[in-house]
Amino acid sequence: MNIFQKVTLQSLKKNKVRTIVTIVGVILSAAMISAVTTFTASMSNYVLQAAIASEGAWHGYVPDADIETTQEITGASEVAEASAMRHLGYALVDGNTMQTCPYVYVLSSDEETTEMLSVRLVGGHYPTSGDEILLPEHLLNSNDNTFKIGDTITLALGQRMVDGYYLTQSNPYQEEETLEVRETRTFTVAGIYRRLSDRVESYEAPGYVAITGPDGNGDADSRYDVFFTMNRPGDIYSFLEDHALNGKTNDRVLLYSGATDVSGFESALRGLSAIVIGLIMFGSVSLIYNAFSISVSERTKQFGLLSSVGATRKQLRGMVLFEALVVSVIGIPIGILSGILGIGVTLLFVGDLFASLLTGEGVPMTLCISAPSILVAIVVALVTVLISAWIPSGRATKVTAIEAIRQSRDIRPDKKVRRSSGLTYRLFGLPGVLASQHYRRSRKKYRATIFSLFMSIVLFVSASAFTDYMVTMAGQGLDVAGYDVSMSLRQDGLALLDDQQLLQQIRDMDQVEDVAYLNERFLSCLFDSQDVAPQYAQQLDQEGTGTVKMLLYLYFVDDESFRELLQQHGLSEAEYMDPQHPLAIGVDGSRVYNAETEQYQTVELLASDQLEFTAEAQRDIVGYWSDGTETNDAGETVYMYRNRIDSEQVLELPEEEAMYSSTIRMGTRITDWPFFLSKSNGTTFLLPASARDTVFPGDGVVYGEYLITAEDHKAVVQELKNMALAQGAHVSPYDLAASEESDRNTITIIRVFSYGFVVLISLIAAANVFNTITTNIHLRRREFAMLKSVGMSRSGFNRMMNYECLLYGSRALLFGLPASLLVALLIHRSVIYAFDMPFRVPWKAMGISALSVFLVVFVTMLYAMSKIKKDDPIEALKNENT
Amino acid sequence: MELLRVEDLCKTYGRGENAVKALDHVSFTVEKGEFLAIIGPSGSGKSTLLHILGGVDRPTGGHVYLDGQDVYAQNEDQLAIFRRRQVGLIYQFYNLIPVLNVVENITLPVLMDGRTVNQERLRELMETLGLRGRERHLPNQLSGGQQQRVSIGRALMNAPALVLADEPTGNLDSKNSQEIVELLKLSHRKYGQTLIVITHDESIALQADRVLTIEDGTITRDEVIRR
Ligand SMILES: Nc1ncnc2c1ncn2[C@@H]1O[C@H](COP(=O)(O)OP(=O)(O)O)[C@@H](O)[C@H]1O
Ligand SMILES: [Mg+2]
Repeated sequence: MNIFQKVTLQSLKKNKVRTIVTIVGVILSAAMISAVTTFTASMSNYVLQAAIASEGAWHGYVPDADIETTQEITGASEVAEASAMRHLGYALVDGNTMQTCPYVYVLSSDEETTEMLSVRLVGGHYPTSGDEILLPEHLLNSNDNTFKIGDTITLALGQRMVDGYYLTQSNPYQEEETLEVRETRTFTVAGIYRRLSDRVESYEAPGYVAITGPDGNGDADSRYDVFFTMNRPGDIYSFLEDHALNGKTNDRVLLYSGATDVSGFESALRGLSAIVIGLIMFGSVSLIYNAFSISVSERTKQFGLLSSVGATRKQLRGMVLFEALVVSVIGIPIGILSGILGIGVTLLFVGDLFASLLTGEGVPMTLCISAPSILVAIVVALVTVLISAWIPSGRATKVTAIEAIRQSRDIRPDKKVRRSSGLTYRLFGLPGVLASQHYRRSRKKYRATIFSLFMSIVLFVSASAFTDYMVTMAGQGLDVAGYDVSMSLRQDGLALLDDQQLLQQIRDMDQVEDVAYLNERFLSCLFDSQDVAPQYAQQLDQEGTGTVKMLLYLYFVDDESFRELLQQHGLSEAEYMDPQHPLAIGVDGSRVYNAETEQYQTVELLASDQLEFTAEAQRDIVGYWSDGTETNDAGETVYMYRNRIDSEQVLELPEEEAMYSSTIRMGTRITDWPFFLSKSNGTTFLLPASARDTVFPGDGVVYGEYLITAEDHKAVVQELKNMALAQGAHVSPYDLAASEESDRNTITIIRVFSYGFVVLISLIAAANVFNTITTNIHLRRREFAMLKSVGMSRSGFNRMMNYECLLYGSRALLFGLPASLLVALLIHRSVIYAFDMPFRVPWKAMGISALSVFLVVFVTMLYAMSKIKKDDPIEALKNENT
Repeated sequence: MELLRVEDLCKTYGRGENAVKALDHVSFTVEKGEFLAIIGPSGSGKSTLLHILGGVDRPTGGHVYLDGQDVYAQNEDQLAIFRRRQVGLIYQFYNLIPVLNVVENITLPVLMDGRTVNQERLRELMETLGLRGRERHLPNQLSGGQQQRVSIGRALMNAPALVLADEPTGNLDSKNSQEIVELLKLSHRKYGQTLIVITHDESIALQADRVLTIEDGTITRDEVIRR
């Protein structure tokens, strides 16, 4: 260690508080940086894991390989792991209704294979021997035969042949093929597994893949499906080419392994983290720079002395950089560890939320510590510290020896106490004037303080504004409906399925708690003005006709659900469900987003509990869809209906036939919403399904909707699909519960990360402010001592300091608040593209930041002054060598 | 033989209205091994002159030659090395590095050069300066006289040709003062160094070979006392 390093180390030791604050700054920034890089790494790892979960971990897949090829792959040095599944052959299964996929295709596996293929069990266990078998879930779904775990299944295994050639999974089923049975075996169903990715079992494949356990060795004629991973994932393409193998690659997994180009996701992720790291660097440079800058100016004398004894500029600069290194050596490792720890703990809590948010694979996001991410963090943190040190180090070299020598000379109170600032003088007296003069003289020194306060105000306010918008956006449509799953049937669905029977089936499902079946009619309603709440009546009936026209929904609810609803409200079934004179239930108090007040409002539209209104609706005709109106040759308006299958076939109905008009009586108005309605639909009328013919005689049902509540909504969705599939129809139930869950997760995640970010940035700023103020006060010891010695009282002192606090705080706010408002506006600008909402002035965040600014400044001042108060004025004045 | 030549040295602080002419066309020469005292009223420009001779301040005009070399023709780094090797500066306010101990402060110029310390010379210096037993003390653990002896040690460590002292006794009582002067004279004789001392003290000035009087930035008297 040379003498400069020694001086540096000793100085660091001597100014313990400042050194610690500097190190804390480095720790904070290294922690934030490593948190970002670790998070990025964990994220990339997560998408890879999710891809592996759905596709399997293999990189290459060679189907139908003979034993030599299998051994060639298994033995290749570039291959990391390989596992071969031996073909046991095809077998027909009873009751299989799928024309194009009549077989099961049996392969033997071992533990490695099931892992490499990510075979996931729906139930049961992995097969442990060749006598046990796993059947795929989709076989059961499309099969009349319901296999159960533990059943035995006898299969006549053989080869599919055409014209003397055998066929494989890549040859779709052909009419003329035959099955040459080789052996008949009996298996025990060990479990049911989720369908493999279509890369392994394509949708055209003629056999459902069934997997047995290890089944001994094959013979020379055996054929294998070989799955393998490479030591370097990128080598897979050349490997297949070099060995002339006809194989498949697991592109999604390879993409996220970084085998080929950087994936779009990865580059977006990296871009985003680069931006965040940039922000952090900016914030931390301002802190750490400040720390070094203070250190340099505090040591001006030291540099000058060294220079007068013959230190060169390079040596002086080296001292500052050495200081940076020392601080880094302590701060960066701690920071990086805490960053990793922080992300680790965070992921422990929100890792599962992420998983459900990004993919439905059920893979939790876990901490991934990668060498590159740590390396990047170290380098970025080091660069941050070095930049911060390099700038002030220039100043160190400019200190001339003579300045240093002379510095220890005169301390005179400022002779010219300007009384110009009359207000300051009146409010704070001489101390105030002194403070403002000090501020004016050392504006540069305090610029850093004000800048870091400014930065944290802006970051805090804009992060809060951003979070606020995101949360509002994600919170949209939460809790508007009481159901968990909805499934709608349009005409093609209705043509294939019996909607009433389906209702019964759904009602009978184990997981389903409640279900309602609705047929919707969109009505043009004519109300008596008195029946409508005055504020709306006025708005809608400006001409004073005494009637109000509104477009509202009417639902025909299946009788059982309607009956339940009547019971809940103590209403008479005889009255409401009288087929000749049905009574409607009005559901009022819908939730409407008011753009002006920025809040959801509950709108009660109806003023009466009982009323009558005229409803108009357009007739629905089964097999046709309505295509608006046209004017025919006779000049009459006609309603067009096009045939669903042959759109050239058109029905033209005159108005009298196309439009229904009916008087609907509403027997009661309720404001608690039944589970099957969505509050955002507006005021809604309900009638029993059995009343449909009375209200709109002869109307066809072209749209129906099932609304279901169920704890296990995922299972219900799956079940619904299977059920429909079994009847030859495709449905896509909407899992509202899942989407709400993911919206809630989004909110949690946004909150966790943005508040984490804000807290860290604020800590950096606080450390920064603390650093500057304490050091500057320390540097002014002698000035204070002098003021004391000429008789300034303690309260005068306090007043002086309070005034200084006010100056810094208000100046930071003066610039910070408008700037943050501007940033908030920009953020609003960018989010309104996605979601329209009014700009909100982030008062709360601005208030909090204003308070915190003053708090930090005052607390620091108090701390620094308490250190100084102990000073004996004579000692401080005399002590030249501190 | 001539060691130091000062030609038309000028130094002006500030500019325009506020300009202060601290040195106004000062010229003189100093022989090798000479003991020169500079006296003059406060504010007359003595310190300014000394700093310029020591290479810590730059003149606004004129030249300083040490051993025939133009001191201010050098760049900053060369000047730093010049300060390190050729001159020893002693100040009224010691100007020690507070975080370094006695030995480190004394050997600072050698350490800066990255050379190894001549232990023989260090021991001899410590002995002469009466600092034995205080090697590991920090400056603030020493009395004023001891601190000044440390700063003398630092100035002498590299055996510079020229030793400059700016009111070295200004902060000390008369007993300590005399000791310090004796030390300076001792090393002056022992190592044949050229010594320039600024002082207010008549009795110290009278011990010199030659006395320069400066008033208002110009040399008003140049008396040779001994030869
Ligand atoms: N850094 C400076 N800026 C302005 N004036 C200075 C500075 N240093 C010295 N002076 C002025 O130059 C003159 C000579 O000062 P100095 O050399 O310190 O005198 P002495 O050492 O003889 O007391 C004085 O008038 C002093 O006020
Ligand atoms: Mg002087």
